[in-house]
Amino acid sequence: MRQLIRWTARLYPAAWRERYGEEFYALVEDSQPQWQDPFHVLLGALRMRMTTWNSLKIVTAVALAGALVAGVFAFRTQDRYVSTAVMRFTPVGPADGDRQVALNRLQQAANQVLSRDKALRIQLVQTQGGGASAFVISGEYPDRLKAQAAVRELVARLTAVQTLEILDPPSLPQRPLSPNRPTMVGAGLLGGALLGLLAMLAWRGRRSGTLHSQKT
Amino acid sequence: MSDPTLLVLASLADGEKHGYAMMEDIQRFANVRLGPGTLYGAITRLEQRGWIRPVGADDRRRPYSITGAGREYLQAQLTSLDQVVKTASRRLKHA
Repeated sequence: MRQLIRWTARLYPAAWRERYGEEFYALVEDSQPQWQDPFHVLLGALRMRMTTWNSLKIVTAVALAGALVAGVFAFRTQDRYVSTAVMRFTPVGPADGDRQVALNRLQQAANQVLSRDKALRIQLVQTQGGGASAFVISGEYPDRLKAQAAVRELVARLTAVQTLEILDPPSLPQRPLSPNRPTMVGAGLLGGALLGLLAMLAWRGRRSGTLHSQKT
Repeated sequence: MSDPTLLVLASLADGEKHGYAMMEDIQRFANVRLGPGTLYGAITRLEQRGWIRPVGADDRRRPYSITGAGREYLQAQLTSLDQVVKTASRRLKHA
């Protein structure tokens, strides 16, 4: 326990250790340490750092800590790959009257797959005439090959029940859509800087208030 | 009362002491144990404000004594505390 307190005391600023280090270590040798002592020494060291560091140093330190936390979180978050395919009814496909029947058949076939696999989506695309004859199939998965295979399976199922034109075949994503790690680390950096600024202002305000009340 | 700065000033009011002697003294008269981190945090603040000063040569067990300003501050705090204690006691009696 004494050794742990000595190690923790190294977190104090060098100037403090130069002035009080030896007598502090003498006190640690003389006293009977308790389990909470290293924690109090750590808090004391942090307080001392806050009082000796300038504002820029405090804000920078907290901002870097924020970026570090965000970085750890970002690199622990799984990649998500999105494969897409675009399809439409062929120009020689069903006439307008039969189109609703065809859509219903497609809907049933799609629902069988979609109810099993929540990662797949079908989105209608508005065409210039206002109709919705084209649609985009997409699937989001942690593995890019799996994403492409799942979209390909749905495309095959739909083309089996209806003659459809494949405008864009299922894509093989090269890069994950999410997480956006640089953005996450940047947000952590910015959040940390704001937090550091607020903490510093609160600390300084409290400190000057205490000193003022003690002087009066 | 558990304010470490007041406890240290109270401990030094009857004469100089080093860290461990202060720790023991405070434990005895206030039944409060100040750990090394808390005690030296208070000593650092008190010395910066000029309310205590180290005495004697450079020693690993360096003693400290209270200054005139420290005595004044302690007296002001005790007067304030005394007022609180008297008021609370009077109100408890009449409650």
